[in-house]
Amino acid sequence: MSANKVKLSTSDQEEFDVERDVANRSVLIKNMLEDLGDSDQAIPLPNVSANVLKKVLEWCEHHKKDPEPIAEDLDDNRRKTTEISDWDAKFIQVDQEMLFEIILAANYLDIKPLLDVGCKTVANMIKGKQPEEIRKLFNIVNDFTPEEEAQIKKENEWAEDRVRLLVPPSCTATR
Amino acid sequence: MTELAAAARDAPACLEALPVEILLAILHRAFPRVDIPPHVARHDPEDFRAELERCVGLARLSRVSKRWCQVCDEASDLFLRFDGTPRLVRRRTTRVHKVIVEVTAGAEDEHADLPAWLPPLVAAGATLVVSSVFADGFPHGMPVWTSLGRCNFVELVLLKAGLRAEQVMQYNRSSGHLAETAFKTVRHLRFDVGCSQPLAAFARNLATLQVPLEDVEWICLSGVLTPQVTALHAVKSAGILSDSSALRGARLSWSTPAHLKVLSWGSGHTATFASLWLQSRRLQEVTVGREAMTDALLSHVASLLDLSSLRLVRHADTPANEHRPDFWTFDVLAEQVARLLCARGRQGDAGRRRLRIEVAVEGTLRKYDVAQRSAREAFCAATSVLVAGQEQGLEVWLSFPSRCPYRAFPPPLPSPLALSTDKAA
Repeated sequence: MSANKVKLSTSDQEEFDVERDVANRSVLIKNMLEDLGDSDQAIPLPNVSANVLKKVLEWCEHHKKDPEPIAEDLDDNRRKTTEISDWDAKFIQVDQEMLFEIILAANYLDIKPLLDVGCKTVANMIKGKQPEEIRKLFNIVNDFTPEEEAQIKKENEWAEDRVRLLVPPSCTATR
Repeated sequence: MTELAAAARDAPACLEALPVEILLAILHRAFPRVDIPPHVARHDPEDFRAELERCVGLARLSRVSKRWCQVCDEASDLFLRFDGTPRLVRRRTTRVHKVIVEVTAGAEDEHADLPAWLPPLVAAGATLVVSSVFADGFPHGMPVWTSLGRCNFVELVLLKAGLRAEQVMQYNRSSGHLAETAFKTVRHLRFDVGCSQPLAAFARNLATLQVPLEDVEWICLSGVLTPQVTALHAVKSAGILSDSSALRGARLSWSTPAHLKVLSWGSGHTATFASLWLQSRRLQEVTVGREAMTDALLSHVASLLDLSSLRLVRHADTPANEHRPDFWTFDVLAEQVARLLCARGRQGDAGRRRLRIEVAVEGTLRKYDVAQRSAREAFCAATSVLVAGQEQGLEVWLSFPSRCPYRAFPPPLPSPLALSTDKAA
């Protein structure tokens, strides 16, 4: 195999020949390659299936020349928005099962920017929705007992009328 | 692999099945935390709105399922609405790092205390945000919460929502209580008083906190610095001072600014800034907005031996090499930084201390490369006269509104391709 290529083996025993700089987007694979040195041996990825790895590699290929992510500006966490680039938004338009598989794979393979895209996508789906809408969207079973549900609803009822009252009276109004 | 593990592996992925750390990452993106460094002024009401939006979002999410309830408990701030008979959230098992107490207008029973179960749940070093302390319809100031004294809060944020003279006069009582309780552990203190008028009265009351404030390391006063305030004795012991955009025409008598370690200054009122800047010798972190810094003031950089972070702002259209009294240039900055590094070298500190300079470049895209080039050339030239190793630890970064940050120093290494071309030539 060419020195510029590496072999990856998926949980369903499929093998992928991948350019090294594409594979290096994964910190896990990059570290394994550094440990193994030059070797023809396939790197086993027991937690990633072939169809998911194929999708992940598509992202890695597109982003292979991206600069290393820099440390976030700690002074302003408000910048941590849920904005996603056009290409990434199109890439992540997949069914929910694949979306969560990509998130799990990005977490396992340690590809932080891809994990970020996945998490932002789910965050955008959650924002502004009522609990029942979230359950319906993600097929989540309401496992509270009626008593628990009544209790938690009572405890959080303030939240529903807070949205309208979020802005405190302005200073000028009191003058 | 066990049967159970195999089944788990083969099960279709769903949101509920994601690990807690991923669910937390999702949650933090949907409802971002409001974590503002102590020396940075809050932007009320935006920050309080963001804090509330997060609480509201988490409150809704916690009603989805038991798993989400658990995740929200892991992540969330604790929001208490205090109206005399506190309606409170359920007792949780996870510790909280930020407690937000909103005192509403109906809180007439000022002696009602926070719940007894609260203190054990508050993590050591947590932040307490109290909103509406001076709000309309709440004339008595802050309620006396004796349980506060059992929480080891490190940061205390007192937010305003309109300030009136009669409310300010009540502040003494609240502040005395705070001094006895919360201030025992508080090290970061914010008073966001706002733009209301009776600031001189407020400042007098603030001065009554002189004793407890001696132990407070960081103070962020927003909206307090006005022409009426001629002396803030209480801030003598603070290591950090931040102004706010409300600062206009202040004539402050800073008796001992030499102790300041962190200085954060917006824009405007350059004379006050210049006075503070030139008297402060122990500064470690400095943030200066546009128009405040000049070439003349940069000469002070060489004497700031403890400086580790300098943040400046520059407009892209500012001439690169022209020296005028009202703005600063990269070559003077680089020259003064080189003198600072040289001085550290004489002290035997060469390369041991880091110095990060960040310049936020504003303005049009077409001028960005001018800023990049002038910064790189200035620092390369200035550091070339230093003894080897003295420039170690120095980093100069330029940030732009729509681009990745650019490292001007140390300059990027030439690419292998460029090297081979050079050799061939």
